[in-house]
Amino acid sequence: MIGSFFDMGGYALFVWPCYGVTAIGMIWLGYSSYARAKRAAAQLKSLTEK
Amino acid sequence: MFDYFANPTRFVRIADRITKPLALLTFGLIAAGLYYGLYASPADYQQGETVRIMYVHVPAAWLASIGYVALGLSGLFYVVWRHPLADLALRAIAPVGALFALLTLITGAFWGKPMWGAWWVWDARLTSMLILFFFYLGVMALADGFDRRERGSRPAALLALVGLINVPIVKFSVDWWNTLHQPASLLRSGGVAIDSAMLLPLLLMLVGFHGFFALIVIWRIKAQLAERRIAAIGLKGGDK
Repeated sequence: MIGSFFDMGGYALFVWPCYGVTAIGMIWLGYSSYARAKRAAAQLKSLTEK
Repeated sequence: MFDYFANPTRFVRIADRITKPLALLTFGLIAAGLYYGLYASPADYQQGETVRIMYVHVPAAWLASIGYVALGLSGLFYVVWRHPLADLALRAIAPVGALFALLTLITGAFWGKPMWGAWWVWDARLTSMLILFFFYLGVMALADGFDRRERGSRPAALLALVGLINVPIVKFSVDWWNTLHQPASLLRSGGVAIDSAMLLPLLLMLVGFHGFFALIVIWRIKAQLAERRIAAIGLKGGDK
């Protein structure tokens, strides 16, 4: 059951890389954009509070 | 209406309010889309399990195209009205659109190999999507390619505007030319040509990807607004 899920009817080498690369790309861009906004906001706050 | 939302202070206030619910909604939609797409939907009678590639390939392709329309319109607003928020939007949209165009090409190759027997063919749909990807890269290179950031804004906006001509070519390439790529299944005359068991995960992922796109653009515009204020404070400090 679990095996057939990962096997994807013999197309595992085609299906899983698609999901993998999409996940990596979206998580990377999502995290870097979020971190950049947080970092800039924190820096601005420390400057304006001085 | 554009002027109303184009006020940076108002933009940040509205963005702060919607970011959290939007992030939760996006996460939920994509999680549900993955469950239905990978597990709770049938394999295709012709394509077998490779049809599951559709649930990431089609939303990515869709966002790459719609994202480019947003990019081109931002370019138009900047070139014609010189609105600074349009420039920030253009710079925020370009990397997300480029990512989706690249993902479209990669996932398409992984779908093409088992179904067509080739990772890549110089077919109208594939080639026009590759050109769309290059337009995104060009806009990004122009926007950041100058010593003074503002000098890149106008050339990037102009290129974004010119690239708009490619969007209908991507969309209609499957109708205008004889291509290996299958024609449209969702937006087509004659209605949706896809079974509801497969339509559900596709729509969940499609809406989820839209949410992701909006989130990234909001975060990147906010980051740029804060960075500009930091730079302005730095300049003022330097005058003293």
